[in-house]
Amino acid sequence: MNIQVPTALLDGSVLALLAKEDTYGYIITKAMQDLLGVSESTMYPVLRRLKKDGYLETYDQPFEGRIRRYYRLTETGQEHLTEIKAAWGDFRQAINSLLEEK
Amino acid sequence: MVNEYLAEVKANMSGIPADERDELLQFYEEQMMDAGLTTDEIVAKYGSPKQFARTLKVEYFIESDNDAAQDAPAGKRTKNLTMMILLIVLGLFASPILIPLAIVVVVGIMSVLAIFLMILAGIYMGIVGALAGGLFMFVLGIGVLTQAVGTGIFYMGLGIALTAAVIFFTPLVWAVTKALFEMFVTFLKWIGRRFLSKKHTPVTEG
Repeated sequence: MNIQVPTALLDGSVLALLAKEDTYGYIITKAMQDLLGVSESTMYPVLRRLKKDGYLETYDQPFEGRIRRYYRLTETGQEHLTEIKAAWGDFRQAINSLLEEK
Repeated sequence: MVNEYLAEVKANMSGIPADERDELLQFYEEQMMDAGLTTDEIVAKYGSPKQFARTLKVEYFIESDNDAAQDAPAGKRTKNLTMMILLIVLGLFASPILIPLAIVVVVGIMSVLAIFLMILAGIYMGIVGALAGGLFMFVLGIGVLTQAVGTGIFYMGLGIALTAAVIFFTPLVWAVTKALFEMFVTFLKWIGRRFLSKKHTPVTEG
């Protein structure tokens, strides 16, 4: 069975990916697809919203006669990631204590 | 070629602001190019340019209504909402799901909307009636006051009570109406996502 990924965790996953290095759309959607089974049509609004909220910004780089839009984590985005990580830590502990209780 | 496919998608994306449209197309162009898809694979994955354009439009209007529900002038939201409902209804008829099923779903949507509007009209006529009745009784009470003080005061009191009840309950009724409407919109979005978006993995909100 599949567990639906809550928005906060999608946001956190993208921000964490970008915390390592700037990257472009396909790398992000591919990672989310492979690891969480989330489609690119789900990722588009996520990226759009994160940009609108100032958590990430974009810049274009030429590649083989077209452009690739790169995403970069902002300072606010870094702070937001820290918050999500903390919330996730609490959540994970709570669920673990419930699921792994014998 | 990918470019031709995308040009055709672009031509079918009227109604979406140019900057939003270009951003969407840029995103999906990269997806297609970076995945190294051939035109056939693109059609298999995203559908014909027309279908894909329609999916993108529905998603755009659902998404922009989600934004608008949080913070936007009511007028702009209504316009987008009307567009969204229209697109979902039109999309259902053109979607790969069977036409009879589409008709059932559309008739369902229309019935819910009609019932909703009738309830709304009933409630608001009730409010207006109660308000008019309250005022009428108050005036009647003043008129009778000179002949029979008790009766006059009784009617005046009744009038005031009725008016007060309206003032008290109207915001409540309004809130309930709004909540019902939001439920209807959420239901429509679910229909739109469920039947129109290809390969869409649903995500929980919030």
